[in-house]
Amino acid sequence: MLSHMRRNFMAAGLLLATMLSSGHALAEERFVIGVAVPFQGNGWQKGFLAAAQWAAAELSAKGKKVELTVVDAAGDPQTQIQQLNNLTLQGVDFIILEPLSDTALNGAINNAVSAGIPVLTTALGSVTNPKAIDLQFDYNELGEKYVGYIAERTGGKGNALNIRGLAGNAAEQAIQDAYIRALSKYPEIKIVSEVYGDWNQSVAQQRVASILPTLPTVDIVFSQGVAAFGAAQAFLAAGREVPLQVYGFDGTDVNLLLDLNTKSGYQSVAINTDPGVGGLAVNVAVAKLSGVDVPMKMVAPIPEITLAQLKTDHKGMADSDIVWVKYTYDWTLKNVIGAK
Amino acid sequence: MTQPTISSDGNSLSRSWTLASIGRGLLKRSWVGALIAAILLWLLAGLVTGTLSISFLLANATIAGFLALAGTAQMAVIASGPGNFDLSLPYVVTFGAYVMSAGLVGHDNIPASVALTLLVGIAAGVVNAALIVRLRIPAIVATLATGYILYSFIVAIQSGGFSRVGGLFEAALRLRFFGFSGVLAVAALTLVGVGFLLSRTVFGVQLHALGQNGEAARLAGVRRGWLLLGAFVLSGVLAAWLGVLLAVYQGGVSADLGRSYLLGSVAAVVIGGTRTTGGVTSVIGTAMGALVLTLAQSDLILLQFSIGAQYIIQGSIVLATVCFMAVRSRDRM
Repeated sequence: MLSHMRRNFMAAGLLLATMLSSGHALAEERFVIGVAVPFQGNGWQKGFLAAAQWAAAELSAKGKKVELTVVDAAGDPQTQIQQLNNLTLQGVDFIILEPLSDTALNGAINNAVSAGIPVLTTALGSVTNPKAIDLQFDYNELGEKYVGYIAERTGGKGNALNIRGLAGNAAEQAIQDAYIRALSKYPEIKIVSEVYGDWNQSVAQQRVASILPTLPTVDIVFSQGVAAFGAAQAFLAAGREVPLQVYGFDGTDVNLLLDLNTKSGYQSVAINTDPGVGGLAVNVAVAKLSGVDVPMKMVAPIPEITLAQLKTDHKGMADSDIVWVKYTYDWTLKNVIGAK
Repeated sequence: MTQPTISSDGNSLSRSWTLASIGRGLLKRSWVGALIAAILLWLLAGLVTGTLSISFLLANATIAGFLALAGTAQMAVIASGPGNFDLSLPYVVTFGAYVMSAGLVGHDNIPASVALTLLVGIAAGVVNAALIVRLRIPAIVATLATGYILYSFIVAIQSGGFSRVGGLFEAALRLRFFGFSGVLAVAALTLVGVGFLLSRTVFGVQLHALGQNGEAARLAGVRRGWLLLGAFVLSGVLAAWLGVLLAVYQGGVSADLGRSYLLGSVAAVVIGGTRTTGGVTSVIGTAMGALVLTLAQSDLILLQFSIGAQYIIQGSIVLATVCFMAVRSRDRM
């Protein structure tokens, strides 16, 4: 009992200490932003963090000192809840959250918001808690751009192989629905076969390779994320030409596209959900903390990167790197937050 | 189906060579069921697409070759006794692929990269065996722990960067001779080697003895610790080798490369007729099991089943095989 009380006292003391220090930090325009990432095991997340750090450095150079406190939940929503509560206890000024669940984190978000710490959810999806600021990609825009480019190149017709993502995933279904909606304008593009690539380069490649001999001519491949590289390798390993497909932002994708272009004049573009949203999120956080009126729902842009841009800006990038777009603070204010 | 050449193994030499006895002997082989299933699935694909395509069969065999390597790695561990599974396998595969692609010993030094990767596989096997033999931790728990540790290594090596191996090695694995790929030949050769190791060496015979009856094997002078070390090292090396082949043949690596090989490897072993409680193995059976699983997957895609139905049918295939084997082994008692 006694030890229990002592611990409570200690916790209160700690809380007081952190509150004092964060109050001190605010006084000289220093923002501590907690970044809760889901896992660091992939290129996209690496790009997300790099973009966040880039934006923080840019802002710091302009006199708004931004510090990031990054925590990694290793894929576990339960861990993420604890990390969110810890960030709240530490008294960070803002929390950027890639939520591992749309419901499980609601309580922890409430804790943060009632402690006066705004929470912004982004990248992995939204949460059902309306107190969280939401910065998301518009999958309809993704579908329009993706299908639009392919339809323009093929004159709105052709046989397509559709590689879906992870079965049962909400984002997967949303992206697929967006493709189908965009495809309804082009009835002459026919999906001749559909496989699930599990958002896994290796699985996508094997599934495509196993049915490839039975397929008629495939003019187009539709895919999500990392599957484009796997699909191309399946066609190459079978000695067939790589059909028209849109590539992602991973170094493997970019290098393959550049390589195909050098060898045979193959043309395409890269369209992806942009890891640069990490930078956007930091900009939004600083805007909010600086007193700008930030809407509760915002849309992150979906960039389309042409072959020419890839050649000039990203030639010789490492396979393990990822392309992300640099969004400045002023650009974010004008185009994402919509401040006057 | 009753070709005398197939059944010309050691067991049937003592029997009289009538057609009926050969047929009976063949049916007793645990992998015949899987072979028949594979042929039926191939015919079904032919029926759906309207052409019986050899290249379809070979394309699936190439992918099944990868799964067969994972299955054989798992089988070596399963053989060693009841309840032994290697849950670190998918992580060894993925980590191996990264070690191969990271160019830790120079990007052009392919033999050294392969050697380093296989060493990693050996190390994983040694750690697993040490946990199980020295600390008496159950295999499932020990290999799960090793797997998690390997996963953190994967995250670490991934941030260090990697690049495509390419070059002659990739060209050799992708070489195709009438649809028969280089990587399929390499996988087949590896399987032949493992088959020899398990059926024709003292290590193989003792491993099976240990799996059938640990106590009897111990009384007969079999040294459990060393055999488990051998089984887990064999599993680790095969998994690392699979990582090498996947990294080079597929031209890229990702952190989830090995994920599908955990359940897949066990399923291939089960369908191939290996007893899951240890002591009885079949390399041919595991290869056939892998082919059945791969063909079934392709057929389900060709038949345009929904993804839910695909999972249900694949699960049912494994379940039905286990039930069938359970009933058959009860009949024998």
